[in-house]
Amino acid sequence: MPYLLRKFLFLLFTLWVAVTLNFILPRLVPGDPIGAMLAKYQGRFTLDSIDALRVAYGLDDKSTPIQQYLTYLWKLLHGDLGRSISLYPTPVSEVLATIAPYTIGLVGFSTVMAFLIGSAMGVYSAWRMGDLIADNLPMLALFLNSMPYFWLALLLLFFLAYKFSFFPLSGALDPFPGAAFSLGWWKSLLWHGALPALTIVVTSAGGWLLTMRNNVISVMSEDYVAFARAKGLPNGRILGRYVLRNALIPSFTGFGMALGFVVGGSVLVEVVFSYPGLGLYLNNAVYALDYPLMQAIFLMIAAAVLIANFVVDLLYSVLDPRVRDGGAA
Amino acid sequence: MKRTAVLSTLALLTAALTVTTAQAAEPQHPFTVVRTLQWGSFNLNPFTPNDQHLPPTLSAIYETLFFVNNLNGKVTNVLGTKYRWSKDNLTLTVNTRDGVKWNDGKAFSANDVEFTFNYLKKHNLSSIWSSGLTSVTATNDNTVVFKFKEPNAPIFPFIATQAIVPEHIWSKVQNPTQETNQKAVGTGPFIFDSYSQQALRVLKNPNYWMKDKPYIDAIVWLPTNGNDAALLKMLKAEGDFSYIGLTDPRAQYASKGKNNTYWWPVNSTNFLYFNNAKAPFSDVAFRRAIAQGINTDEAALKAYAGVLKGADVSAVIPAQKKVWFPTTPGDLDLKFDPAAADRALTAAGYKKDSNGRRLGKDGKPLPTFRILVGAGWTDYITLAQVVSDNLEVLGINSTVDQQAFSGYITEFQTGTYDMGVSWSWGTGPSPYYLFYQSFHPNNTAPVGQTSPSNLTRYTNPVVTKALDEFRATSNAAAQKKALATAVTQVMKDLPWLPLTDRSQFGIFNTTRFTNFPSDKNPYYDGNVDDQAGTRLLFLNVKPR
Repeated sequence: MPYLLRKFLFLLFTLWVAVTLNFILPRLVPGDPIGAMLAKYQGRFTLDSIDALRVAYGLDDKSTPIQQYLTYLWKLLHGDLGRSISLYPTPVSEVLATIAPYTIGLVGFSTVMAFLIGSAMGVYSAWRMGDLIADNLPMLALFLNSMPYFWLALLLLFFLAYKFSFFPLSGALDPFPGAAFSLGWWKSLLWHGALPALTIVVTSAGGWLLTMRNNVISVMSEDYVAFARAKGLPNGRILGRYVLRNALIPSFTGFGMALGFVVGGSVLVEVVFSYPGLGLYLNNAVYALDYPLMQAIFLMIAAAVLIANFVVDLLYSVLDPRVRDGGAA
Repeated sequence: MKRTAVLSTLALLTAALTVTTAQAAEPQHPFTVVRTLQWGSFNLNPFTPNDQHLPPTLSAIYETLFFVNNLNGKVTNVLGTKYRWSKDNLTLTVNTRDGVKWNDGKAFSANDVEFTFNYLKKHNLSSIWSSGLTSVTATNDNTVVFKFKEPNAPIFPFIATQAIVPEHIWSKVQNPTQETNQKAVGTGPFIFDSYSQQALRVLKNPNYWMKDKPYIDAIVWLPTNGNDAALLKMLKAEGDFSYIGLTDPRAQYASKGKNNTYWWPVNSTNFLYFNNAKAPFSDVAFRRAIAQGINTDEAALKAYAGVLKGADVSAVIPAQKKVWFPTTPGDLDLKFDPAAADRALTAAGYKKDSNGRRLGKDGKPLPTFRILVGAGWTDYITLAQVVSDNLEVLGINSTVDQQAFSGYITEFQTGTYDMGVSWSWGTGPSPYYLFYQSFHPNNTAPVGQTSPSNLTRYTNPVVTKALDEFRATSNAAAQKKALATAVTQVMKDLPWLPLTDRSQFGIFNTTRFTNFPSDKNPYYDGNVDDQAGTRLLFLNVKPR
């Protein structure tokens, strides 16, 4: 299928570009990781150890950039992401395996929830136009959507966690939550995830609401909807068969993109709640100039966005037959 | 029939659950340390660098021969019970403790000490051996003898605080730099219990050699993401001890609850370093004159909210001054006096022109000097700003030069800077360590080459001789005399200006525990990092 093949080759090409940029960008950042580490300790670290650390972290590499690039690609193909500098000597792949599930769980779940809740409210608000709640929903959505989410996060943290102690201050689990996947563990996980999830859902549902509402309104003015009404079809059937199916398509593109960005996490939300996910570790890695960890997280973000887009492209060809023929691609 | 089966299964399950909970009884008095950083992999190897092993390694699991308090030089016995230098200061004899057991039940003996030091040598793990040590031998089960090529009394704290490991375990470890040592066998007061990214826990060692200590039954470490998160936890009493560099611990922490206290013992000094290899900083009269025009009290107040004070001109920290250098030669004390500084500069040949600009000895205006600080280090930038403002009053122009860490360090070490703010490049249980690192010819290099720790590139035969005399004797009176000579000479020449005190950043929440260190009871220097001294905190804190 030329459409899919084209999309797949494009995916490979963009992945290669991402990997290459990923190699170049950290090397353009001024400073070096040992310097960052020593600066953090402001002299509580003996200077004799600098050279030893350089060797230990593999920063004494004297080979040319081209050689380094080829080694980097070779290692990457074998799944070797190197060792983290700030969490030395933990391998980067081990760090990712520990933290990625938290982000994918928290941000993934919140993104899906925000999409479902927002879209449902969008449909309601378009379908029931004239109703008091339905007419005021877009206002509320605009307000919530334009609120910076880290600000809401700080408010929630200050009032619900610090002042009134309803929720924990930081982290993803209690210090000793019991065995993994036990009842206590799940309780602890949900308890810790509640505020960050609430932040993401509240601030992003508004966007989905507005998109969905506009889509539904524009589809409702189409001739085929008017025709369906004229035929006397029941409302539920018009909504399900004619309106929703067509209104969902534009939202779907956005949803695919949003899913791709889940891996990057909502960096600020994770930082505010000290939630140990990819976003928090990316933030810390940048401060510590921890190149291997930074590269790995960037790579995951890039790969997730590209693959999510590819999947959306695939599903499009199912949802919208015009795409397959190349007419609207 | 079916019903009975279900019931009996239920009963069995309940029994099993009860047993599990009984066995995994939570410690009654866990002491909680809140960290401002995450930790890395599960590594309890005491031979790996400090940020690679987990925090309990040196502070709770392994023990040293002695503990030497960096504040006042006081020596506490640990696995060693007595030490003495021979008359010629070439032999150090240490007696080790009887009746100590490793936490796997085997007995500790002087052979483990011999093994540890020779293991360091074999795998090149420590700089102790490059300082003239020639052999370490256990002469019987509780005596170890250290022999030296030439006298080196100041090496003692390094030998004293080396973590001792069991021979029966480590003799099998071929590659100590890659060992993660997850089943750590030590003599210390705690045994490792659990590792996760959320928490670390150690439990009390039931066979510990001190019968009455520790008073706590567990220590828990919690990681956070930086100062703000750690401070919130401490304010909510979710932690008992933390180490946070706050700008104003009184306003940000202590004033917010009756159980919130902090102890910031002064353990070193922030200096304004002069590049003595460059004119006009090569001129003693110039250095002394501008030093008199800099208000160190104002600098301390602006940079540290008055929690830390202006530094003593001798650069000897208060706790050590009492022990080593109780009286400063009065005529060398600097009093902030811009008018006198102005007169002194003119007298030394640095006149002012009609615009109030200071001229060099050659009659040309002095250039604009750079004051080197680390980029974004707010306290240092504030200090440099005060210095710059004070110099302007004297007609001398300067700019605050912020550089990223590698540039900052390189300029200091290669001697290309004019003036710069930095910490004490050398600390220890007596002022000797600071003066040796800062001014001994062993630690300097020509301009352009990297100097290990002599940033000012100032050396003086009087100081060198005094430091060598100190090193060659273990006699306290002789050491005091030598040190006084060195300190007095440096005060005369003023190659640096001690600006403000520097301190540790310990904060406590005393809701659950008492007996924290304080000015009245400074049993260790207040560090929270994985160090031998922190063990004393864990031994001394008591549940309320």
